[in-house]
Amino acid sequence: MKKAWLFFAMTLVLLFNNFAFSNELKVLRWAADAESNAPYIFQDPKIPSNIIGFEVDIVNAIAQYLGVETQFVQNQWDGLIPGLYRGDYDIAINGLEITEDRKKEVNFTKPYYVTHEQLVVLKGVNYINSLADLVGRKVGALKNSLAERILRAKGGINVLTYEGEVNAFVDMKNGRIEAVLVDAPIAIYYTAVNPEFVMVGQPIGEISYGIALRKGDTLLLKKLNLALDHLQKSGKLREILEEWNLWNFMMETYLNDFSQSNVPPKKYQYFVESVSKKSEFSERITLYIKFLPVFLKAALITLGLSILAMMLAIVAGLIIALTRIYGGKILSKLAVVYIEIIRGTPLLIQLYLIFYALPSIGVKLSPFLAAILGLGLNYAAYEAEVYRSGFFAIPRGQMEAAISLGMTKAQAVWYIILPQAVRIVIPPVTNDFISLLKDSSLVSVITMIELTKVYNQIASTYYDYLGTGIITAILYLLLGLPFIRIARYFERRLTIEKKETQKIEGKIV
Amino acid sequence: MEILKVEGLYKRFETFEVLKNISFSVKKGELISIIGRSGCGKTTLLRCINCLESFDKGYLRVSDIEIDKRNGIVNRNNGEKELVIRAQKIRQKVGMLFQNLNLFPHLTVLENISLAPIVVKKEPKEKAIENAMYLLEKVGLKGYENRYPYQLSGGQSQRVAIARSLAMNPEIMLYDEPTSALDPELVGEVLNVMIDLHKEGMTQIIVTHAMSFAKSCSDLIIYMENGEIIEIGSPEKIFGNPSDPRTVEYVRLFKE
Repeated sequence: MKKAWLFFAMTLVLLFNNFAFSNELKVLRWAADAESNAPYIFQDPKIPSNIIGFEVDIVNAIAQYLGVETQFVQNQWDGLIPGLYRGDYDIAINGLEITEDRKKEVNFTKPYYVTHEQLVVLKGVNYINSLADLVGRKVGALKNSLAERILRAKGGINVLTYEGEVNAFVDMKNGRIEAVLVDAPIAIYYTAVNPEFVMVGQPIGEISYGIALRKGDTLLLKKLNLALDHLQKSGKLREILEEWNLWNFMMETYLNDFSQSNVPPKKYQYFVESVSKKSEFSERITLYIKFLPVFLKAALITLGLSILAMMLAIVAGLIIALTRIYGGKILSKLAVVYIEIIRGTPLLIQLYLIFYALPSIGVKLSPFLAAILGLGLNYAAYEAEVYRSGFFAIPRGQMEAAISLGMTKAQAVWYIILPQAVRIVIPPVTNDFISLLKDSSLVSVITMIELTKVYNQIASTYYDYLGTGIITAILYLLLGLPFIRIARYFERRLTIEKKETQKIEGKIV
Repeated sequence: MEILKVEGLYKRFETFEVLKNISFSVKKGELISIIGRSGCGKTTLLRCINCLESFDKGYLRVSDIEIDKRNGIVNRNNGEKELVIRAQKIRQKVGMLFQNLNLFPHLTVLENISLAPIVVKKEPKEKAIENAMYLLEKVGLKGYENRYPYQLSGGQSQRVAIARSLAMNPEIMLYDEPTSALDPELVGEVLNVMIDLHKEGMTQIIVTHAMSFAKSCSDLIIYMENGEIIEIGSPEKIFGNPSDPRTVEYVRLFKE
């Protein structure tokens, strides 16, 4: 009974805190995935460290109306809603379609943009003009999108789904699919800078984007809707959309505003001018050189993250290995269970659990800490096994000799067994570090911005997966190279010593 | 004065009885040779004295520390924990030279010798090193202190191993076939060290196949067969006039 009261009181405090927080909202923390491409939210092609997009403009306009500062939080698109409940930010705005399913999890503001699905085909394809023409053909769409649902509902269409639209377009170019159905803004921007693709046919379906926020934040919801009302009535929303070349007939109907357009689409033009016409080799190189600082910074984050995670893995792995070998029955069983669970489950799931599930029991870690912990504890299990094999490679006589000199078991392990085992395991541990370096790309799912994430962001802004991909691969290679060298060096030294020892042992035995 | 006493000691591996009713005692300063065929239990007996193996029944006393299992597994104040402590205390008083030496390959000769005094006895580093240098000189290896084990010959390794044991100031030294792995021309340099130690009054027990050494240097010889002590006696008695027919048969092998 006492516990129940305590729980009730705590809930009250939490509610009150939340309420108080919303009341004196100073900073609007908003999340999106900066690799969601133009025109939503993307990196400024000329200044890659700047995040721009029509949704950025909308958030800024809302914040200006509410008189608050904004704070952008980078978050993987798939994780936008879980991140809301982690409390990392207060709103998510990123082409989130208002659907019944999503409404069960979050509240949506009124739509800030209404649009449709658009067919895109390769230039010169004249036999596709409507949904009906797609029957019997292979067509691409984004996973879980309205486009996918429309295509499936039509029936008879072979639907292929993709994580990103660029993959779908590349597949079309390579002849694997014949058409792509995507949200109109994507189609407008992609075809503008890739003239080998064209938009065909009539608008299909209707899609509304809304801002998502936590179920409990009703006051904030009210404020956001008020702000959107204001943007609509004052013409600010229309101005933003026109600047981005996104004003359409559906918005005319939605806002009941059929007047002539008078704002030039300057932001659209800026994007098209900076991204297209870069096919010349020298221009591409200058572009890549411009990216380099961003890439290098991300590479440093990847390296730092990996080194810290490996240090954790080395120490924790040693403790686990010692527990397993010398820990007695129960403790050693526990160590085995830990190793088996960690090695038997995907690192990705472990990262998700640490980042999204731990907060529900009160442990909320920053992305950086969660990444180190996730990678470190995962690799600890592998290192423990490496150490164990290292320990077993030391002849039993070493322990006996140490003990017969009067050392305790612990002293023998510390002074005699461990130093020898460490030398044996340096090469495999270094190799593991190199694979950790590569596995660290997984932590982008918990909102860490590291090398792979930056690659995705830049590649999706320029629709250039090849060039930036090669740069990224080279950077990973360069990061790993010194460690490959270290491993080689110790391997060589160890074999030399082994040979010498065998020579001597051969002499006496 | 008896420095080592073994009484009614039994040891079995699974169902195989390795040691049966072993009883003998050693006086301070004596050099004892244990001889017998391979597999007769000589090495296991040494390992029991050094508490590297536990025994199932019997009594063991080294200097003033005793382990008493005469009435079964645990006796008097010999609880499990107490046993571990006593075993460690005994090991500090007993130095052991293994057949394959087990020098620590990651440490220099000097570190091999000085590590245990520093770690176990908490000797100051300078003192431990000084003592190690003295011992190295004693076993004839002055100038080798900075070498690693893999840079030593078999005989040199053997002498480093002896010095490493002596550094702990043991009251008894045990040797498990110390010369069997050596080239014949190196045997002498190791045996000389043991003879020197004998002169200084060190108590030593040697498991050996080197009959001429056992014959000429031992105070007592123990002959073992199938886990039992068959006969204990002076070299003259064992090699000249053994009383048990089994001993007679064994020593005859070395007469031709």
